[in-house]
Amino acid sequence: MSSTATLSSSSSVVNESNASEFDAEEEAEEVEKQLANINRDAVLFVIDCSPSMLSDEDSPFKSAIRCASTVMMNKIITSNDTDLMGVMLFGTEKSQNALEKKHIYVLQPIDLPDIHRIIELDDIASGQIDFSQEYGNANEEVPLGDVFWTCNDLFNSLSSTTIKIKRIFLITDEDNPHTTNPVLRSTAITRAKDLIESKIEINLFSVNKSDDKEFNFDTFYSVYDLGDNLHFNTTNDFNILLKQIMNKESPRRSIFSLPFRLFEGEGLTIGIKGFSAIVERVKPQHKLVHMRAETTRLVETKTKWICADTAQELMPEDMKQYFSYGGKKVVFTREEIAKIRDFGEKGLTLIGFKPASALKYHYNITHPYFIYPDEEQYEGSRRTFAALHKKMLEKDKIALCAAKIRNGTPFTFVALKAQPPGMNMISLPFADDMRPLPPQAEIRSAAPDTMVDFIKPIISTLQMKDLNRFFNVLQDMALNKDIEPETNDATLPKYSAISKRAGEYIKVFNAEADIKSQESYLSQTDSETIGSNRASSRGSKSLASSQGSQADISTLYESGKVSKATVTQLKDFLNNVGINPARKKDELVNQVEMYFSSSAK
Amino acid sequence: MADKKVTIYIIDVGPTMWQVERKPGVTGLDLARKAVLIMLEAKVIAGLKSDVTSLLLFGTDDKLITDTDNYMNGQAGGYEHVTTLYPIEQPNMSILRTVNNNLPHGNVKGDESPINSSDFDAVLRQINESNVELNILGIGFDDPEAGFFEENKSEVKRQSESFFNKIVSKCPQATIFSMEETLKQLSKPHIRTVRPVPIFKGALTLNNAKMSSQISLSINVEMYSRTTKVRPPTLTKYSALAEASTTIHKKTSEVNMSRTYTISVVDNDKNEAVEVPREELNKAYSLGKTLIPVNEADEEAFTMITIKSMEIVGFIKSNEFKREYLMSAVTAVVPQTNNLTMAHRLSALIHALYEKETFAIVRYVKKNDDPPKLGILIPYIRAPKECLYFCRIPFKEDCHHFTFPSFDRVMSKSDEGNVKEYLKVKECFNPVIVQTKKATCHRALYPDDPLLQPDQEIIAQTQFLPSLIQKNLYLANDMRTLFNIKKVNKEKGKTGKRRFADANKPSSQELSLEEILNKPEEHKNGKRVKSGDGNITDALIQHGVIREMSVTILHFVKTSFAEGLYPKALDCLKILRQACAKENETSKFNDFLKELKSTCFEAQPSKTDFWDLIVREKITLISRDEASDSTVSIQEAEEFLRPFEKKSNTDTLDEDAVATDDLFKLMED
Repeated sequence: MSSTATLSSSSSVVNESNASEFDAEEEAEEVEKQLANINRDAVLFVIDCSPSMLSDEDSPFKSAIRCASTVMMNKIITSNDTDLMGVMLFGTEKSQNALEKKHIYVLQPIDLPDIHRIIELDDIASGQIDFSQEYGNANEEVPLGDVFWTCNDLFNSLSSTTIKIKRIFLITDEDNPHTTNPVLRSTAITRAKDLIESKIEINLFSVNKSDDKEFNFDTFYSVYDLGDNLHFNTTNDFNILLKQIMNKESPRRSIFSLPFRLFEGEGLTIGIKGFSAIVERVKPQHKLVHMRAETTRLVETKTKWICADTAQELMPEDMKQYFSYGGKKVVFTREEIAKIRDFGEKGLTLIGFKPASALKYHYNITHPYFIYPDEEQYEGSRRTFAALHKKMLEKDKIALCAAKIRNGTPFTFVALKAQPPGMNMISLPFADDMRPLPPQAEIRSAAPDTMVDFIKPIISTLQMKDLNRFFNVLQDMALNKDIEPETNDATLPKYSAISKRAGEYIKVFNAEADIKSQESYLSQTDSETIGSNRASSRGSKSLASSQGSQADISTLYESGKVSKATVTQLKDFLNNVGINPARKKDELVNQVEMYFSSSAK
Repeated sequence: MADKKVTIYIIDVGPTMWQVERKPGVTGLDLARKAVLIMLEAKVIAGLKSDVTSLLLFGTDDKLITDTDNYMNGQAGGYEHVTTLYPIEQPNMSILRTVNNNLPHGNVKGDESPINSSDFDAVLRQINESNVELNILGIGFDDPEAGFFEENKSEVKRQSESFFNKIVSKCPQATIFSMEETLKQLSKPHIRTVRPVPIFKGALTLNNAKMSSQISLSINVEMYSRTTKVRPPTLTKYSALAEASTTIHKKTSEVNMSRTYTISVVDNDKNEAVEVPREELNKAYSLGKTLIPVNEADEEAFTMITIKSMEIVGFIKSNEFKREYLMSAVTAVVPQTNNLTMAHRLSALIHALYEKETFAIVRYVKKNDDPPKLGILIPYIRAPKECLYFCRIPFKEDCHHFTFPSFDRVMSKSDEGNVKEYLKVKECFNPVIVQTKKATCHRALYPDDPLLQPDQEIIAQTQFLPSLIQKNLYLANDMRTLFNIKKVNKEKGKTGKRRFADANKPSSQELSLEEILNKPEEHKNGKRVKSGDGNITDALIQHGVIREMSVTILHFVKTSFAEGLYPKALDCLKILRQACAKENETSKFNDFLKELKSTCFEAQPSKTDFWDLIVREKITLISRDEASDSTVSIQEAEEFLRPFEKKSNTDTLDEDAVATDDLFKLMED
């Protein structure tokens, strides 16, 4: 472990001084990432260790621990290295907490996730660490109020001001605690309310005590009026528990909060918050470290500007900026540039409504945002937004708005599309961003009806019921060294299923396509001999050379005549199958034969 | 160099061009100058070496630099009074400056002698054979299509026009444009055309083509961008220090970037940043708190081996696909160039998808060893074009599942509004790009001018339509009352939970009339507001209740069943008038009375009977005689009481319709 090093949690502090950056052409993604850094999430797993939770080999307790481990792993392998996590047990014989409360064991204080912590959790789940020996079972009732109090204390002891989202994942099978002790019961309620007041969210993941006794949310927990639907019954199944928890794993981190101006003037502006519901998770960025000294240290990279003439370091005020224009420098001051760039007013401004059909599929440029009313800016936002939302759904309309998410980010037009329970905010391209369709999109001759009809059964047999199944892929690529290509690639189509279900239909289609292309090729050459204009003969000449290269080459291979193919055909074929074509024909033929013989296995 | 382009601008600088004013203060030459300048600026901004220009003038004479200076004249004589001001070259600042403020005025009256058409046929042949596109911008040319005919046209000009018309009829690539129309077109932001370059060339496949070519589908396709984010032009830094310096000899004023790497070392209990050389650094990935250094071999092992491909994974009904899954720019998948067989196959797939209302889900690997992506193929058919649109869709881990409470209580009722398409995507230009270009062009010609103000038209695009604001003002006022939105004062904000409970309170149902009626009273710090009470006025003004009171009155009038609420409304109106007159707020009252009058006559059903009451009570505009700040005479004030002609209102506005519906009217024009 000599090559690893431990960082203090302060090393991930964000550079918020971007405003002073000379020409900060901020990319939206960059900004979002930074926001994640100043809007950090802290999750505390609070796991009930009462005897019923520990019942058997596959006990709910072990499931809960495995879930905590999975969540932590997930946080680690994504580029998200700013969120915090902790694990706390209650109902243990031993105790470990700052308040010296009995039967409460803070297994892992709230801190950055770490590989050693995952190993510890895995060891508990597998039984390598013996629960009864290490922690033991309490022989008395554990005051739930103490549990909440300790939670509060753990969160309060966090010094960082960037932690904006604080959540408790409470996993328990007790739906009616302290039935015989009204004092403990009321203290528990008070403490829970304290948590809510301090904006610490309680997410309850309940487990059934037995198959015939379902967890009853109404006997105790609903008394708290926890607000949003934060109760998730998970029966006793690990997979269901994990799914529920993973659904809640990414915090509802708003990335902007804006005024939404519905009409000019006062009194019709509401507040909204924006979230990134769909955003690509990218491979983590590498960091630079210095390992020459006894400890490995993270390196900080700074950019300096140097005058080419004097070799002096230049401060922002020592530099000017220009556009190259007609061979001359056209100079602007920083203020002027900022003025030009900072078009528009921060917020969302309603321009009007359009039928939903006006939002064409190709009017897309990036991922959408999800927006939801924000009562913290304007009271009445929710009811106003709700009315608008309902009407838009009813009338099948989208709202067209001018949007500027924050000062310094570019202005855009957006479409709002209502989707229960909020709206999707879809950035529209500008006229500048649209490219015309290429000439190949021109319909040169429509496909014969028979061909169209033969494809339809293929589509029918391979139609999917649920898109989610296909999203359930691609695991921890960046870290899993043992990934074996192809065999382990879950993104690949299920060939055997396709062959079984649609193979025959594809065969029919291919046969038909071959006939039709033969026919049209002949008619094309016919019309050419009769004499047509320049353009079409130019077209068909290269057509003949690349005609159905894929199909032909495989036929030629089967009959052992690959060498009959032209160089262009061979090259096209190789390109299509992802092989870099060689220069000479002999080599090309060789490559093709290699390809078929290796794939025949 | 397939796309090399030469443009020769030819400007008539003869006397009629600069002596005759086309509009007050604007000559034909001014118009020509403007048009050529805009076209040249677009080229200079683009800065393409392959797009070159030349500038010829005719009508030049020896009072200028030279009266004749051209290649033809130099070779064999003739071609008089034609001057090559700029040879064919990439346009630069000099040509811009010349066109902007230095175009010579010629004195040769080209217009008064008929065009010499001796070489006509040879010239035409030359034009056609060399595939030259000829655009003639006519100033004051007759335009039968637009119904424009210039009056008092000279015979010579008439002949010239017919000559140009003859050219156009004989050259397939020649067109006459009207100068006004051209300038209007040119005033739109210019978008640089980009030559399409394929992003992907390969096979779109279904099933493993390697293993089973018979039962697999393979279509050779190419993929091109349909949307691409265009960034504003980038700036270059230069050193102001070097520029200002008088001691440096060969100055470049260039700025170089350098990176430094520092580690923090604890020294005497102080954190000190120590610079380290780049060679001593290693790459590492952080695993939570743990840093794991990796070398290049390790990195290679991380890379997933993939093969360039686009494979169909399955199909999905279009109505089961959510628009918001689209997460990238869009590309168009088209058949391989000049491959009719593949065009057929792709076309069959496009049509089958279209007819079955399905999309295809694909796994896409752009090039070998790139991580695989998921995408959706959406059929697009619009004669004479068709293609498949491709857009990235998320993997499971790209989707975040947030739970939000749903909205349960909302207002009801609906009505239909006709919607017109406004602000199409192709009409929305990126304001930052437009402004950057304009600012650059302007600054280049006028270095000392302040920054240009943003284009009003573009600003207007991003705001509410003014015409609709007027039209919907009263609806918006209704909505203000109905939704009762309040800005939250952060300091004494309620807790999240309280607020949550408040937000869920149904609004419209609970806004009882009594509540609204009593509202002005509650505002007065305990002081009672009653009709006839002279002391209320201070409070009224102090607390800024004028607007609220106005809204309330409007509400009474509009919601009154028969005359039920009229007395109350009338009382309030009297109080308001009294208060406003006393406190020099007459304009507020007078404006409101105008609004009220419109409401009475435009409301459906109309509320003219309330206006009759106002007339009977003689609640006039506040005149100069009553308040010193009024701008209204007694006569005007009394005249104002006269009722409007009743408008024939064809709107089918449901009287119960709630304000939300009216929001939809914002788009009607």
